Amino acid sequence: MNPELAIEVRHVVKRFGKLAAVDDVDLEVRHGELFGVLGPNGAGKTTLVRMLTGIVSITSGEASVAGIDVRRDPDGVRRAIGVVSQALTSDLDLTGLENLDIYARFFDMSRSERGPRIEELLRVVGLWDRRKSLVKTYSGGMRRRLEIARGLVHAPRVLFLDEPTIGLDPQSRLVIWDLLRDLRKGSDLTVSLTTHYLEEAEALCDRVAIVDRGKIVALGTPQELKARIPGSDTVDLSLGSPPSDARLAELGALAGVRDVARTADGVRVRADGGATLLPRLIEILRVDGLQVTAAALQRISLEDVFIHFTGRTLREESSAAGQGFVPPRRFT
Amino acid sequence: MRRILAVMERDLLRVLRNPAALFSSVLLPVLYLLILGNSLNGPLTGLRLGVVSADQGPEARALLGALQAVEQGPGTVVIVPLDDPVRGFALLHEGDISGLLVVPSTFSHDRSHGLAASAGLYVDNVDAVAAGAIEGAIEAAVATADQPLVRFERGLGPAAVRPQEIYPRVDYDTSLIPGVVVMSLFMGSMLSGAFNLIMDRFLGVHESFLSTPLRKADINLGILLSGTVVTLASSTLVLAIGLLMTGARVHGGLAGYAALLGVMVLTGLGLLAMTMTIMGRAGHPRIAGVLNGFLSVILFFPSGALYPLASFPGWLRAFARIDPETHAVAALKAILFRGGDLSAAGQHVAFLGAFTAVMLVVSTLAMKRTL
Repeated sequence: MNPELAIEVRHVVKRFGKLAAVDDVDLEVRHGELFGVLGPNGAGKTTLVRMLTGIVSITSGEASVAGIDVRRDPDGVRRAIGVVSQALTSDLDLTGLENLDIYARFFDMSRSERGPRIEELLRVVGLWDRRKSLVKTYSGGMRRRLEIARGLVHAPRVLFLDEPTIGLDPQSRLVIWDLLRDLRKGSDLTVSLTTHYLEEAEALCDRVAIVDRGKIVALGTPQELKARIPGSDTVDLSLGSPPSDARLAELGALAGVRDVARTADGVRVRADGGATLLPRLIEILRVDGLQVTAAALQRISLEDVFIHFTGRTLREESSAAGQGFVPPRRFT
Repeated sequence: MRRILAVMERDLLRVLRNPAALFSSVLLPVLYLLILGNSLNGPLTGLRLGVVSADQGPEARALLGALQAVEQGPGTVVIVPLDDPVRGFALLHEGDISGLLVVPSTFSHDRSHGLAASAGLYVDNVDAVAAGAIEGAIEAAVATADQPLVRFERGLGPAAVRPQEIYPRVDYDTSLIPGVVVMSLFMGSMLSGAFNLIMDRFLGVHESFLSTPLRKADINLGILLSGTVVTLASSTLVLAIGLLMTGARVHGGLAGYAALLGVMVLTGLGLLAMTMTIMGRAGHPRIAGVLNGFLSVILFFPSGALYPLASFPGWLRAFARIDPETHAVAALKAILFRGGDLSAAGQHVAFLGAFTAVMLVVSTLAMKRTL
């Protein structure tokens, strides 16, 4: 196992009876990285995280977190990681402060260590003023922020977030995203983020693994993954008058351009890396004195990437029950 | 230790902020004491006995006189004089009277001539307890009716057994106190301890425990200690209410109170650990509900809290001997009613100590550290 890696997974399998919920997965996450595990419900993401956090046993294979072998020293791993699980697990009948204080004591933190750390975290997540309120009076977003603070209370080296924005309204989701970005500033905290929201993976993650039916089907930065799909961007240009054939041929000859076609009010170019090509496209068209009145760039999304690698849409999969493993009994 | 106390504090705070469930662990045993104590209070009295006597002879009058003595004395029966046996049977059938004694016209004649004389006693044996009490009263009356003659001829004084109670008098309702205290300990142990763990697991909250360095023993002991505090609080309240309701006193002063608390702590912790062993792995609160009802019956009724163990058949006595509630009831009875001699509780306390120790170890080993 490589101590340079924050998370290392080698040929890991988890079976529930005959079903392989996680099937021979290999993974490397570097220190300080925000790594996304993207896939539909039942793809095996949560099971993978639960194995890495010592909550369920590994059927076969090897895994280490923060350089510690998960199977040999699960207790060591638990001290090195913070976990924010998918279900809201803070105690409703306790105050925000009590929730954090008791959790910190689970990690053997002394009173003098706990006090300043808890205050700092509660301020970061914007709950210091509500610290003495019972958690049952918190909104879903506040509760999730509290649980992120709780996951960080013992200053872990790796933070596991399992669907941190599930069930939250769009505004609360943005607050959580900002919070995660702030937490990483000036810190070498490694974050493993499990999500089935494409926009979340795209907005936050340095690298993403797409998981489907227990296997990793694609891995890379969001840009890399998108670039793997040929003709990934569509550029629509509205022009003051129709372009000449010579100019269209010139556009078609540009590196990365796959296809050029006339439209009712201009031209449509399908290309790899449409954003970087756009200024050049406009430049070429202007040679004839054409005026570009509007430009629209439709970029490929991770949704398209997911369809490309799995042949199905993420949304269909999310609503289809019975894929992968049986979700745990819980309320979220 | 810090971790155990953290688990305990968390559990306690949650219970204290939802105290409604705990009221039932106080209220039910107190109601039990109030209702059972007043309904099954000591020997039966006031059973209506219809008497139809067709015989005016001396032996019949002696028998009726003896019955009147029972009526005036212990009061087991109230005599309802009747003229017509047919009317008597009708009343018996309707439940208006609990027994009917029919003395035939030949009763005195047969007896005085040395023949076997019999009177008919018809009892409403739908209620076996009342029937037994009436039979007992009439047998006593027949025996008494024989006595004057014997005494007159031999000139002897009456021989009687006068019970001497070696401890201060314990009324039936007072004797129920140990049982209701044990009942509140049992109910408290069902409403806290393992139940809290099952609810945490059911709600998914438990998962947040599992990803921390908490060990099995930290989780188990933390929850059991919190449960002990809860059960001790509710059972102490039940004990105090029981003592106030019945006017009973704790003998042995401070040592007596300390011994009571000691037995209650040991019993509460033992029951909590037993419950954790049996249902610590359950994932749904309904399982706890079903087992709760089952355990409540099989542990409480054979415990001797309501009825003496000696009257049980052998197999039930054997079970009662390994029932922790039996020893808890016996230890509390010894401390409360045996005049402050704490040594009488010794063997029962020893059993409870061993039981609790074994259950603590087994419940820790049986605890599941993964999902």
